[in-house]
Amino acid sequence: MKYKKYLLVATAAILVATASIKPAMAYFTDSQTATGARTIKLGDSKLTPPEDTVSNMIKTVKISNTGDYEVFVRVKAIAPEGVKVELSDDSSSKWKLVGDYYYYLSSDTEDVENNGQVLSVDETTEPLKLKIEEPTAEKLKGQNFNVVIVQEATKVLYHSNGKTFADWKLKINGEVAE
Amino acid sequence: MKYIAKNPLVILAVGLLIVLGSSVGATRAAFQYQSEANEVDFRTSEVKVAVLEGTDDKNNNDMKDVSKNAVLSFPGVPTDDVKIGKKYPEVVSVKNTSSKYNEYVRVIVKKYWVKEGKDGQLVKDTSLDPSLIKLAIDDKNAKWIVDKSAHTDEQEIYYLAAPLKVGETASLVRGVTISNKVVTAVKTNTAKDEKGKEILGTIEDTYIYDGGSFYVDVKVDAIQTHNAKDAIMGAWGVEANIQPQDEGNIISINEVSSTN
Repeated sequence: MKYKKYLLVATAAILVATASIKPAMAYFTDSQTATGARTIKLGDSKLTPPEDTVSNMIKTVKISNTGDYEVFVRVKAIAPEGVKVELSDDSSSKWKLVGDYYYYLSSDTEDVENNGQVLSVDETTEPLKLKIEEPTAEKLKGQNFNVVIVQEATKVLYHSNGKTFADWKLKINGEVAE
Repeated sequence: MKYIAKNPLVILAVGLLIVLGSSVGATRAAFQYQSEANEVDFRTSEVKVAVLEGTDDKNNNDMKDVSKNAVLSFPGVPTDDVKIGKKYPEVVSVKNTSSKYNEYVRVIVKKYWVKEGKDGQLVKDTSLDPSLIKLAIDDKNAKWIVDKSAHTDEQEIYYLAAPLKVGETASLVRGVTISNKVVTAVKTNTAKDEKGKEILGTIEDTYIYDGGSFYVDVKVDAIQTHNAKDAIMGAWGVEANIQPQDEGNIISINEVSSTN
């Protein structure tokens, strides 16, 4: 009997509660949602030298971007002692020696960070021609030697205004310019 | 007789009758004097809001209402080659589509990284930093108040200070940028040959963010301007300081006054 009384009280309480909730629910509201996603690709950059030949002591180097995003490229020529490597006069004017590297640039400047020539996917650079002078020293004359070409690429980065820049000193897990 | 009256079920039944009767009675009484033709078609106009997305809301207006599909499509961002660090045009606005009422509006913006899971579904990746997804918030065309007490790297809540008038639009997001920092985050593994065997002494770096997708979730809430303080408290659970009381500007949220 007591149980039923409690039931009665509970029912009454629920009735009162439902009746009083209504006004609080009556605020006019509306809600809309929209979501979306876009994928970014990083991956490794891939370079292929379609041309790397030597004739008349002129080494010609061309580089193709075979990766899946735009890159900047630079080339380093490593030669043994006594061998001189110089930028040939008929090399494309886009190549410029700054420091140890030949950079592929869009304008004639020392500022390699901001003036790199973007190499789009499947694009090939204009030829870089390097004049190789054989050693003149007596003991090195007539010896065989190799000139090693090292090619490097870095992902094209953007300032927020859309201008491109290269960060050749980009360090893994390090800071980068915004 | 005494027994019946004491039966709780009977009391309950009587009680129910009284409660129902009291609320129905009023309505019935009102209608009794009217013929059907005279009945008033009483409908409340609703408070309504819409999300718009596009690349430009000024000269070449291409803003589209995306509320129905609930999909942000990033029309200003290329599909396959998202350039890192570049600011892409992405305008997200809210529009008061009510027929009659002005409204207060807030926008909850969530952003995070998702990666494709095993079954091809996109799965949230909490190991990637949501703060590298940068949304440029409009501070020229509209005044938005940030609820700093609700701030996380992943979520931000913006309140439009002034009530949004009928038919008017306010833009919140104006651009999206992926921070250059994503190219500095790599994972170093021991390199493996084609057969999957480890190559001793050789390491391989892989970009952590490669193949990741940035994900943006925009939720727009609108509420009536009448009795706004209580309404905002009741519906959104935040303390809004509004001056003047109705149709005024929101000065602060949760007693934190700040603008973006």
